[in-house]
Amino acid sequence: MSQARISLTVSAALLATASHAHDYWFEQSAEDYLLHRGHRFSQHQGEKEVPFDPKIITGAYCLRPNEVTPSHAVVGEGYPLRVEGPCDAVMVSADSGYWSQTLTGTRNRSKDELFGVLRSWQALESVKRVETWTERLRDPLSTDLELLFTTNPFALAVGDKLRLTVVFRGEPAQGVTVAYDGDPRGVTGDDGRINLRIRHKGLQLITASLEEPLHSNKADKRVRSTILMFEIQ
Amino acid sequence: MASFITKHLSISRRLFVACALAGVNVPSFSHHGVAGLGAAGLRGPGAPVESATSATLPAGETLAYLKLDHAKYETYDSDPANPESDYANYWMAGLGYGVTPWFSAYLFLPYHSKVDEPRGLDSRGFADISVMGQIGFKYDEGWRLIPDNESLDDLEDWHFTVFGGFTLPTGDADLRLDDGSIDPGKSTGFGKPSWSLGLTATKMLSPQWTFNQELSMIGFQEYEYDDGNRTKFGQEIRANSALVYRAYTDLNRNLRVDLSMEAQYLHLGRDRTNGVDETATGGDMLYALPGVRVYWDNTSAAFGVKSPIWTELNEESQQQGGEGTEDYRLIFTFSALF
Repeated sequence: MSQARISLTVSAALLATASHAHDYWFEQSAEDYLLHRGHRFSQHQGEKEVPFDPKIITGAYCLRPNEVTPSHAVVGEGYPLRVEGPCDAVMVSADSGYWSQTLTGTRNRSKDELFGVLRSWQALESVKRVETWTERLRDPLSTDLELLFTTNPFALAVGDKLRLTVVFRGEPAQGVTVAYDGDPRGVTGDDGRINLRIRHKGLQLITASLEEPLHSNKADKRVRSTILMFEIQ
Repeated sequence: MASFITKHLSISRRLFVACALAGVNVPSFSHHGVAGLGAAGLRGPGAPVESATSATLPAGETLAYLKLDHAKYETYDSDPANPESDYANYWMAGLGYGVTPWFSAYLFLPYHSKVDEPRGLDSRGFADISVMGQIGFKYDEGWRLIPDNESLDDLEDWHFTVFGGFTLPTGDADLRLDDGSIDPGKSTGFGKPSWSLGLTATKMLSPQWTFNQELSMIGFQEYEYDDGNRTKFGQEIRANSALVYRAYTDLNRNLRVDLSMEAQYLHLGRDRTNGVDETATGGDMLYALPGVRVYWDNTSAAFGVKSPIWTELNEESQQQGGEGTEDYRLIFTFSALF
């Protein structure tokens, strides 16, 4: 699996690992962040920009410098979505609704609205960008699926192991697939932990996803996914 | 896609993260088959055909194993009146169980058939059952036992195992040949327990290449046969090095093909009969074993051709039918994890 090529000026994320989901990524704008959606890093083809309705955003958190409690980040309107900075870490959660795959493509509709649906899912997504290390980052910023550092990642070099914990609702999450630059590297155990090796300098993209059956006529399953991004100099 | 990835990783974990098919040398008669359980996995470390590896079995999972080692011997005397050893088939059936992520237990049942040229003296039968235990550990910012869950990146660490075991005298040490004699080398049991001890080290050098090293030894006790003679087989020491190359992987079909090359050094101590060193026994030899291993789903099959490339036997011209005098050995193994 090839690694994503990443511009240093762009923060990228592969949200909703699979399922032909779109990528979400931040671009820095002065002290703020602009959240984009499209096909920049995923392994399937699609339009570069796929604007979204800001209503899909379910949470925006900013851990501001020298603070220990993440605050609600002010988000703008329109697309790309502006998130107010500066933040030691910024996180945005979204519910992009129901998705259905048919023979003619993937639609942002529930399966009961379409004919000939092959599979369907509800996509709950989040993305977290970490700018600098603080001890507070050992704990989650949200109650969503989230990737946590166990040690300072900015002290790592290429070849070192990045030790992570995946949590959901603040508790270790078992059975979560974790990928590095889109390449699945393992599944978390009952302690939620997983170790990945830093392969290159620059922007690091860690994605995690968790599926659960959804007993609904709208979709077959619910896919929770999250991205963690940070830079190694 | 997500479910595919999860399934793939889950299978990978079963097959190598924890999976294992670690290898174990099983004492059996000199001139014998050596069991080696290969490792499996779609993207994890590879396993050679025969040498022991550093993979332990997943906790709570069972391994079924079958091996055939067909040894064809060089013959030196063309006189039909002097039949020599022609070939031997060393079968091995085994069961393994992952007691914990770092401890695996194995039980092996060998079956041997040793066939001479026409008018020679053949023997066949179930040999001594062996019991083995294997402890896995690794170095990851310190020494630690193999954890329950490892990522592909964790699998790139150095992994080690120590293993040990013993045989139970369930075979027939006093097997009488057609002429009524007892030849300890053709018996199907040692008469007394033997023991084995070994160490393995495994390292993924890259996503495609795996290095594997085994050091092991087997020791025997003296046994007094029904004919009154006492024999103690010489100690065996092995140093097996291997390089494995992951040549083909199809994640969609859970299929993987590896190529491997093993260099196997074997030292055989001299046997002793009635307290006296036995002539025409013992020596040193080096085997080359190129092979191929195929993984599919939860199964693994391996095939290789083993041949001596260097020998320094104590009395080579008299050691026909023993290690180091093979024309070739064909090794086939099959294993499945449940």
